[in-house]
Amino acid sequence: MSKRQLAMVMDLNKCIGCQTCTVACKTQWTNRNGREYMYWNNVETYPGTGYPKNWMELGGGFDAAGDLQPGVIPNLEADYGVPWDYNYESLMGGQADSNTFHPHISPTWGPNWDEDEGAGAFPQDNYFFYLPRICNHCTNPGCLSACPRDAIFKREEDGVVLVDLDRCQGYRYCIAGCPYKKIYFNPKISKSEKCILCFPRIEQGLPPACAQQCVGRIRFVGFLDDEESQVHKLVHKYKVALGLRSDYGTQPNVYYIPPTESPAKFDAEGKIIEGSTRLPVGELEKLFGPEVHDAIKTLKTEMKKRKETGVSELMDLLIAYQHSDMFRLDNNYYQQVAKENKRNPLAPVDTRYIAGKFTKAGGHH
Amino acid sequence: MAVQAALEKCEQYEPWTMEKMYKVGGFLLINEKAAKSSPLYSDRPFNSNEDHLYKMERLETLSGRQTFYVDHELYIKMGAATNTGMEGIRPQSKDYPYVFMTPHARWSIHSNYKTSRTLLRLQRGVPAAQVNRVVAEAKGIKDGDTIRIYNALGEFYAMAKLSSSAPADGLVLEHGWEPYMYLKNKGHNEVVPTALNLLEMADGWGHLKFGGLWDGNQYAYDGAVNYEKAKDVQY
Repeated sequence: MSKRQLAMVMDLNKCIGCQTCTVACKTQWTNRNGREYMYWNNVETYPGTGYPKNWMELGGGFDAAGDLQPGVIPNLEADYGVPWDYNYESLMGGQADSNTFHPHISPTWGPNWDEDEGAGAFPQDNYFFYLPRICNHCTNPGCLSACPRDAIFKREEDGVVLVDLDRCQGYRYCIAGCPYKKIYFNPKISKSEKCILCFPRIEQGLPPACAQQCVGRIRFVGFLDDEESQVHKLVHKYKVALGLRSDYGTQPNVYYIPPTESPAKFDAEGKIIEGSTRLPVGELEKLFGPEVHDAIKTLKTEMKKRKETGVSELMDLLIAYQHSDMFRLDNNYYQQVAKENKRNPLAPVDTRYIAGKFTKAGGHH
Repeated sequence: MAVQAALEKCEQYEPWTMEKMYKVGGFLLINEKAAKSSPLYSDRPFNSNEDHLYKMERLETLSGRQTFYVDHELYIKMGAATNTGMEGIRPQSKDYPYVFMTPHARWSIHSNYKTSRTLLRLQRGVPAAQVNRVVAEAKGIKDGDTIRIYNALGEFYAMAKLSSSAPADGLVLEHGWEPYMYLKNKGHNEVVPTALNLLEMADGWGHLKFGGLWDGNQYAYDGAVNYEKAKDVQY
C-alpha cells in the first residue's frame, strides 16, 4: 500500500455522455504511436456491452481468498474495434459524385458502439445511463499482481499505478489480470500502457485532463486522507461514492455517485406509475455493491433536506458551484517528496515511467 | 474567389486581405463589428444578449420582446397564435408508417466537425439511425446492418442501431451528415419533403417580414418513411 492515495469521484447523475473527457485524454495521450485504439478514458452506455466488449465477463481480479483469477485478453478487431481512418483526400478534388467519403474498413466495433441503446421498451420503461471509466489506480491492482516482470508499480507518494516501460516485456498477463480491462497492449512498442492519471499535471497541482475538461462537472479529484478534500467527504464522510465492481477485489480508487434520479415508468395507457423508477436498483447493486442502498438513501435524504431547509453540505459539494472547488491538489506536496528523495523539484517526482519513454521493443531479455 | 468576395464585401473582415491571411497562416481575425447582441471584447469571451440584458435594447421581433403570441389573421386561422403542439403534416400512410426524426447531433453544430476522425470513431463511423429494437427484429434487421430508408420521394442508407429509446413508430438519425458521407452520395434529405410552413406567408412572406434572424420556417417532422434491410449494399 502506498503512503497516500489519490482518488477520483464521478457523479453519474451529472454525466451527459458528451465524451469530452474521452477526447481530452485521447488528444493528450493516445492519438499516436500505437496507442490509437486505446481509450484510457471511455464513456459507455449502461446497460450495454461496454468497452472493450463485455469487459465485465473477461475475468481477472481476485477471489475471496485473495487469489488472482484467470482472465481473457480482448481481441483488437472484435472487442476493441479497429480505429478506422478516412479518405479525406477524396474531398479535395470536387469528385464527391464518384468517390464517397468512407472509412477504410467496415466499422464492426468501437469504444462507444452501443451509445444510447439501453434496455427496456419505449416509452414504458426504457432507460440507460452513462458510465465513464478510467484506470481505477487500485490499492490491490490485478495488473500489478499478474506481471511476472515486476514492471508495474504503485507510487508511494500518491498511489498512481504506472508501467515501467523499461521492464515491461509485453507478456500481457496484466491485461488478463485487470478485471476492468483498463491496461492495453501497444503493438508498436510491444509493451503495455495505461492511464497515468495525468501525473505530470497532478504534480503541478492540476487535475487530470479528463476532469479538467468535464463539462458536466462530474469529476472530483483529491487525496483520500485529506479530510478537507471533496473525495474524502464523498467517500468516507457521507459514503455516497462507491467503487465500481468492488467484488473483483482490487480496491478501486475511482468512486461513483450512483445515478439516483431516474424518471418514473409509464403504464400501458401512458400514465405515470407513481413511485416507480426506470432504473432498476438491482442493476446499481450489481455495479456498486449492497452499499448502494445506503448511498441512495443518504442522497435522497440530503436532497430533501436541502429542499426544505436550504442547507446541505453534501448537495453543495455535488452541485460544484465553482469548477475549482472540485479539486484539491497540491504541487507543494510533490516538491516536498522530490526534496526528501533528493530529486529535482521541478521534474516529475518519479523517473521510472519517464525513463521508459524512449524504449524500443525487445530491449531487455 | 468566395473568400476574396467576402473580404471585399464584409466590413466585419476589415482590414484583412488575402495576402495578409497567407502571411499569418490562413486565417483572419474578425473586427468588433462582427458581433451581434453583445460587444466583441478583445480580452474576454463573447456572451450573447448583453445588449438586451444590460442596455435594454429591443429584440428583432415585432414586439421587441420574446414573442409567444401573434394575433395575425393567418396565425389565428391555423390555430398557431400561441405555441401549440400539433399532429405532424406527414401523410398517414401504411406504406410509410415511421416518422423520420433528425435531432441535433451530440458534437456537431450542423455539419461542422462532422468529418472529425476522432469523433467519428466515437460513434459508428458512418451515418447511423436508431430504430426500435422490437420493430427492427421483426423486420429481420440486426444491430450494425445497413438499412434502406425510403418513401415516395427517394431513399438513402444508414447503419441500424437497435435501441430501446427509439419509438416504435419512428426512426432517429442525428442531423448534420453531409450527403457525401452516405452510400451512393444520397443524404437523408432525399426523403424529406421540406414543405413550406404556411405561417411563413403571413403578411406577405418572411415570418412576419424578414428580420435578421429569419431562416425560413418549415414543418418539423414532415417526413414519413419506411425502412428495410439493404439488399445489395453495406457500410
